[in-house]
Amino acid sequence: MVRSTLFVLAGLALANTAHGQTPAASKPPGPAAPSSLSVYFALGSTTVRPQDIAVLDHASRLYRDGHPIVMIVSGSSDSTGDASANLRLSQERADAVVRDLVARGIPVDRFQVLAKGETDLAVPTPPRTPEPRNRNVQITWR
Amino acid sequence: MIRYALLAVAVFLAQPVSAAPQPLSDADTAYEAGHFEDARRLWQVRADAGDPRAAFKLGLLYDLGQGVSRDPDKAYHWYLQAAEADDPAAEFNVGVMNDSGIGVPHHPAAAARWYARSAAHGNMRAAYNLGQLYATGEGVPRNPTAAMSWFEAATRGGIQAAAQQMAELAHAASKRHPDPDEPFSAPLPVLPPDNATVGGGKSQSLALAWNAPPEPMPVRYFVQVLDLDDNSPPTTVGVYVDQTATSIVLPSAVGHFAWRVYAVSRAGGDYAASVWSHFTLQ
Repeated sequence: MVRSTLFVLAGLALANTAHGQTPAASKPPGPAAPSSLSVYFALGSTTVRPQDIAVLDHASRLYRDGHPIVMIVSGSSDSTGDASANLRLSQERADAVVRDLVARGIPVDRFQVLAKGETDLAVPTPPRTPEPRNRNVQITWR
Repeated sequence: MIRYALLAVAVFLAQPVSAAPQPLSDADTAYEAGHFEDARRLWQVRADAGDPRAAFKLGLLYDLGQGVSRDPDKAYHWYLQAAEADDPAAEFNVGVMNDSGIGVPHHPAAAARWYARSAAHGNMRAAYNLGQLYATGEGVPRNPTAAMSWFEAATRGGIQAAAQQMAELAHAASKRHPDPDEPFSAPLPVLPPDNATVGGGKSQSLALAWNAPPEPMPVRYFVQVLDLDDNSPPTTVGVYVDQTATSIVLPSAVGHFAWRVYAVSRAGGDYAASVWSHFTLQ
């Protein structure tokens, strides 16, 4: 298993692949200011699903102008497939989310992109286990 | 380090009435160097003297907890002071805090007003957020056409995601059919509030905003402003706009004014006019 974690500061290699369906639910926009938001992906996909657009709008609506706070975008994959490919996949998922947040007017230099691959799984699973909740990008602030 | 310490001492000893304010750039320099407490003291002096940009920066420090304890209430206070002086970024931040319930209770109608004001002053993220409120009916009437017009403005202003929102709304709109028999609804002036006293005698420009109910067919808005102190005959300012807010240049920087807004069919003929709303500019 690849244990390395890749940090990239706002250097975007953007990629889109075919999208599909996962059962994970998205939080709709609302008044509460959460500590983090999550976007989920179909198996092998790096495309933000239409139902998760609201999550990105929610994140951008919390971001004040001139606010030099870092938004951390952390991509993950489940444990199916090759570990190095999963690291790359998680990077591309995080890049896709950053791209969509930049498209909402958030300055690109405010992001820290973190690719975790199949390490630090949200839901611990054995190797080669498809788990929709682990195919995610988490957005946090500090 | 010594330089900033000396600056801080100088400001601490100065009396606000008699002291010449330190250049804002000194505070910016201190901030960039990570000397947040020095920056805060410098910005505090200027903010207390009414400098909106310093008030905005002070709001940022309290928002982030830099050189001070993080305090959303104080952040809101200083953002609001800057916003009331027409700082577009501060207007936007006041909108965001009302929108998200940070530093102030969740108040989507107030968020919509501050987004409208900021957008009228050119902040395109505010235009995008206001488009979302109109799309979902949070704090304003649900009005996909008004949402579309704000997303269009945001798209022109470089917010790429707004183009996606426009495409979705256009798809939904293609399934609806205009009803020529349905009456037009009058817009509701919301900014400035009726009978408000606004401005500081420094500007003839003022942001006006209204809530726009959905109409039976596409409309533009016609804003009419009367200078009530000019009776021979009253000076009228009138402009057509596509969105639900605009920044208008008034005939004078002080005086009493009345304004109203019409929703006018793009096809011509049909319209609905709001009630008159009044404000004093001083």
